[in-house]
Amino acid sequence: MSHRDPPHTPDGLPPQDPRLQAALRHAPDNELAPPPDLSAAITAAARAAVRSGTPSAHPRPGLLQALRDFWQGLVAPRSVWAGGAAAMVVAGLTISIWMGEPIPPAVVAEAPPPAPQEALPKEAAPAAPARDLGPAPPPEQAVTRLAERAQRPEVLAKPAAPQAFPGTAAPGREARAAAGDAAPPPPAPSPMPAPAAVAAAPAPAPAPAVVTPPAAAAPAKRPAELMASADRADAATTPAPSPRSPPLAGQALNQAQDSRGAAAKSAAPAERPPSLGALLGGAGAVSESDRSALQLLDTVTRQRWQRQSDAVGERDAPLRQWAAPAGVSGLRIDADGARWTEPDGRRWFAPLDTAAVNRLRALF
Amino acid sequence: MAHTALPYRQVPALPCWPGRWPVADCPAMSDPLARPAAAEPSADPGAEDDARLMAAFARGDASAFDQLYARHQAALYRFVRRVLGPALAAQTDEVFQDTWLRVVHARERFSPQGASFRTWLFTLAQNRAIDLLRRSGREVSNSSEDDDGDAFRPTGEPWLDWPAPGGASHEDRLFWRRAGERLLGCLNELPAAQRVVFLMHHDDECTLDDIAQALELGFETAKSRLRYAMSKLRTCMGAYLGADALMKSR
Repeated sequence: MSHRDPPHTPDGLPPQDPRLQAALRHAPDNELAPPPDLSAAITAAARAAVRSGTPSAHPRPGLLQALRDFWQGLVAPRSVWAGGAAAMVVAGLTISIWMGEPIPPAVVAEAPPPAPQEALPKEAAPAAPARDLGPAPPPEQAVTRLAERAQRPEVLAKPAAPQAFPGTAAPGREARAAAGDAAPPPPAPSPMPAPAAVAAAPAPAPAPAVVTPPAAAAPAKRPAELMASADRADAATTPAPSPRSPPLAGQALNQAQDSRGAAAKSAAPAERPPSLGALLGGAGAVSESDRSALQLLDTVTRQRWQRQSDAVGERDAPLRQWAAPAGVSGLRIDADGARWTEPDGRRWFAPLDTAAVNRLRALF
Repeated sequence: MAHTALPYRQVPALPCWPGRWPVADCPAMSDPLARPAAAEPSADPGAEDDARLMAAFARGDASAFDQLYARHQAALYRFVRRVLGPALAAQTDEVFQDTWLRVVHARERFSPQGASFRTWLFTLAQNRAIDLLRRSGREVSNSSEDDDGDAFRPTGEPWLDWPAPGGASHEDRLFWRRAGERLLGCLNELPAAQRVVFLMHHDDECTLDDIAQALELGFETAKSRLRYAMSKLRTCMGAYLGADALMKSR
């Protein structure tokens, strides 16, 4: 006699197969349970987290909750609004980026023949950093520079310089760094140029791509050196806003990143966060594979840890967590480095280069 | 082996999962053809209890976490072990601990309006396990249709002459014990994506709606993964060959 199971329930769903379920429940691993010490460590970590009230608490005010619900509704499968919303976001972003920008192709198309020779030395002056806001050239020179730039194959065909930290370093950052190393910071901004020159001068945004020959000729630097020199250059050049250079979207992003980096670097570097040391010393329930990964983390981040602000955002949720008697420690590997959360909620940051980040991401 | 052949509808109801549901609240077991009522989380008292305990834990009641842990730890540990398979069995503790620590970390983000706590918990675990499988170099397919499911077309009647699952005789228990051993081996031959869906559906008794939502899959994708998994498991188990084949193969 056959026990043929119906292929599907009346509403088209596969039913649970009683015999497969019975086999599952008689399987030899059915009595498996977590080891008692593991259970004790987990419950102790939960108690410690409740006691210290740490970082698990992501208070969500009503507005944030509403935004989250709206976003989750958008990204839900088969949402008819997702496509339209994505198109609007892309269009808005594009408009905001290009708003106020000149239209270089039109200028280039009407540009006169190749530039006079005297324009080159000014551009190639090694002491002129990317953000040097000295007197603007006459309108003719500005137009000439654009035309020359458009005709120079090495500028157009040259691939972007390797960035130490993808996503955080702007194209002109290394140039600024190199310039900052090679020369003292520029003096205060020079007097305002003539209104005519201001009107005719192109926006300074594309300038770094051209004013970089000295940096390009300089010997290649290691990412860490580039980062350090970039920071020095930033410190020297960032407080030089000019009324004739409205911040473009890219510059605004750079400044935001710089300020974030400056905040992260406000404290002197430490060897390692205390709870990382404790975990390496044998505290907590850490598997062997995790311990070796933590040792590598410790090796590449030693003496680089800096205290960060304790403000925890949604995006800062840790990638991995470890329980210890003192509570739960968390680790997050971002593109710019490693972030560590102590059981008491203190946060640490260690800047890392891309290779180190990739290596750590493969481990955690 | 003495066993009585029963029509499908007369298969005795299986006992519900220990600690999971009260038997009376286990509609999937009382009528195998009925769509489990767990599709409506609010109708599940276990889910309501979990949500209440999670809310208490988020307010600072550590004993609520102890209850949640006691309620789900065994099933979760077993689930993680089965998803990882024998090759990564040594990582079971790590995934298990990491899953619970994520619960601790996200205690205030848990939303009872979404999937039930148990589904959420198992989803956290499966995400971590799949990560581990990927990092270990084992193939984890995210596509439902590339799992060579179409290549398999079983013929014949499944479960011919197999004993009913609820049999109390020694022979029946021995039979199902061996069937369980074999099923674990068959599970390891499934693609991880199908294995996860099958275990959530048959072991944890999640509905396909919940599974699709929790794994962020389309409903049809989840359904086809489950269908392929069940077909492959039935064939691997010898369901189309009769009971003797299973006994001889051990």
